[in-house]
Amino acid sequence: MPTLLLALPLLLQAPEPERLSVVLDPAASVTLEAAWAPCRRSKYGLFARTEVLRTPAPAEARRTYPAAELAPFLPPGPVALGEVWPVPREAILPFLRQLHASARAELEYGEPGTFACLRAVGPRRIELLFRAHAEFWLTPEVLYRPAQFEGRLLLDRERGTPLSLSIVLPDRDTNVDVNVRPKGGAGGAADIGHVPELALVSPAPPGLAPPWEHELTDADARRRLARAFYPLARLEWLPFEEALTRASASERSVLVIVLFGTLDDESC
Amino acid sequence: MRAGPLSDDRVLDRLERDFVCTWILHDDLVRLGEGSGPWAPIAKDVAEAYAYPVDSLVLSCEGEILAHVAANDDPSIEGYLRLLDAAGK
Repeated sequence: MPTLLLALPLLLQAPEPERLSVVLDPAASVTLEAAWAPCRRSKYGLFARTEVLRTPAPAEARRTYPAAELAPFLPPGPVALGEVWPVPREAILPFLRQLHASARAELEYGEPGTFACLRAVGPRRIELLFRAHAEFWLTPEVLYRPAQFEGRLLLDRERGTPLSLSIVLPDRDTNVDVNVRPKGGAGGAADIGHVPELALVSPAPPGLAPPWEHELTDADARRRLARAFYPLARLEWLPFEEALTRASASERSVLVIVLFGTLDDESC
Repeated sequence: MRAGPLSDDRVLDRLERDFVCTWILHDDLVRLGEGSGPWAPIAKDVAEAYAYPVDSLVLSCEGEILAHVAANDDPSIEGYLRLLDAAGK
């Protein structure tokens, strides 16, 4: 009997989650098509008044990347579903230079870095979600600061062939901050706006509706990635009206933060 | 503020324990305050009290504004903890 009691805690422990090795075919490649839309709406009209912001265009419409450019996004060892790992921050730059040669991972201000997460596992495919922070100096005077880039890489589980890849600025109002500085002078102007499309996307092969065996929702994976950047993301942040309803029901005080851009990205 | 008070464990622990947290875009807040929903009067009050560019407000559980601090006025951790103390008064 005592032996059984001693063993009980061990029996009640959750099983270790399966850890998977993520492989990449070194001979593989992926082709991305670029799109960059002008700002649809901004707070102060600076996008519309600044020539380089009025009609942005990708540096290269289409470019093919060898596996070596994707390798830094893979985990350094076996990972469990939902696990987050850091990616060298420069890994995103070859891709973002398809948009503009000035892409840089060191930020003028804000939280730099790239993190990735194993989001879904199926019998034949796996999907990684990653988040990267980067910025562009479109001219020596114009700093373009996207809120974040979200990457989604679908891989053949056994062969390590990339089946699709997208790296996109999430489409939400607001999602890009800009700073325009006068030539050779101090000061300048800032604005925040909504850019509906800034993306690098591979043409999806047909029949890609993967049956997953295990997966996190996108929202869950995004929360895990946000927590890797910002300690504040460990808190539950409710929509304004929902927060007031819950506060009233639970008789708790409310913290409201009012701002011009999203709290847990680099747009503000 | 993300890298200041909202990265500090004392602030985050206090928020996690005692507060319901929310953030909202200024434009959305103004729109909400102009609407006719049950929370419109509180949204209107918060929008009127708002201080540029990033404002943190503590509200009672009934939605009364107890205190606020603009990020440009006092970005310190101690200042933020004092703001949260307003909830206990």
